[in-house]
Amino acid sequence: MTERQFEEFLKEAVEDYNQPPEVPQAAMWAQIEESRRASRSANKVVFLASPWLRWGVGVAAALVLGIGIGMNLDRAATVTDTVVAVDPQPSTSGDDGVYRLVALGHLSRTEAFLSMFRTDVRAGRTDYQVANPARELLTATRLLQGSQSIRDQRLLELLDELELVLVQIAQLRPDLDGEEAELVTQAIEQRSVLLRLRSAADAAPELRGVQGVL
Amino acid sequence: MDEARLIARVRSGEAAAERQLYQAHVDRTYRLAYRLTGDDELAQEFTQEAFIRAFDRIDQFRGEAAFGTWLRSIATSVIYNGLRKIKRFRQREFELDEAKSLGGNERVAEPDLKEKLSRAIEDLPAKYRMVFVMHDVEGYTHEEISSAMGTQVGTSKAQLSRARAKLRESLSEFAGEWAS
Repeated sequence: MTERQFEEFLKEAVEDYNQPPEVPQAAMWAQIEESRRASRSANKVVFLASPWLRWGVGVAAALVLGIGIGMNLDRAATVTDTVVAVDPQPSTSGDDGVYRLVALGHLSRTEAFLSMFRTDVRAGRTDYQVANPARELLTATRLLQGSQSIRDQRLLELLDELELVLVQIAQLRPDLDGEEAELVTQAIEQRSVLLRLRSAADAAPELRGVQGVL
Repeated sequence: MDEARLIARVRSGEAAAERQLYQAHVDRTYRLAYRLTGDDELAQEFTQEAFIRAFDRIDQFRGEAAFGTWLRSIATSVIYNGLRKIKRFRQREFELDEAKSLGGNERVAEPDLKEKLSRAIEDLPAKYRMVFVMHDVEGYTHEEISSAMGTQVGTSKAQLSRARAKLRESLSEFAGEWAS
């Protein structure tokens, strides 16, 4: 038996090795498109080159909001009050407007972050540096939850959902918690978190395009 | 439309141009990912990741080589790194399974030649396996492989030769079958 004979044998034998099925072009494109859309949307919001600064600005904006228009740390009482006092057409002027503007910016950043996180997990990258952005987004989420200016019950529910997801991500240890990261991405998908984030942004067209001022 | 113009449109943020570029290269990228992973979900993820990275970094593409060559280097890097992590994870699972089955009297059936060949390919060192699958299974040239993996053509040839030698050694018990 010669080397040539073996190569000829290999040539035939490997034809069936992991024979690919029909290429799922449309399904893959849908995912790529979604990720690219999120990336473009994040780029519109971003006016600073460093991602760390970007998250920092979001937190700073929420802090300003908290200081400027007051915080209610006893959120249970606030929720009861605001659910009753929901304004069907909330004003975009004054405190409400500022709150909505900051909230929208925060939701956009969180959407971009969660999209990147999910892409990383799907690609098996668990050496990401997610903890700090997740913690900072978590802080901003909690500030928004605690603000007296919150009027929208759906927004409050969404912020609660984000808090839960961000807490889990903030606790992940790079390179050690691949399975946990996978579970978090499953939770993001099952609860349609990204879809709800986008819907929330779409529901406030009057504020679109002005996030850059934050 | 020529590729340079298409890439210029991608650089300007045109989603339709991204799709055109995707359609031109997706089949080959997915096929390679599938051949190396043997898993549709993983192959899709690696393919998506390769295109997302390519589009994100399109400004870094200088046009000195064809876009396909550049994309292939991204895809091989994504697949190679992804598989290494999965292999580490599976190794841990395997060790756990081994520990569980200690003391058992399970008899493993002798695999036939093709099964043994598949297993031998899986067991090749990662870089040998990449080169072997790209060359002998998917028909890439050594020039394409070396540019994708950032190595010399000679390295690619040497790795292929070593990969084949290892396979031959693993399949030595079946020597009569391929010689006949």
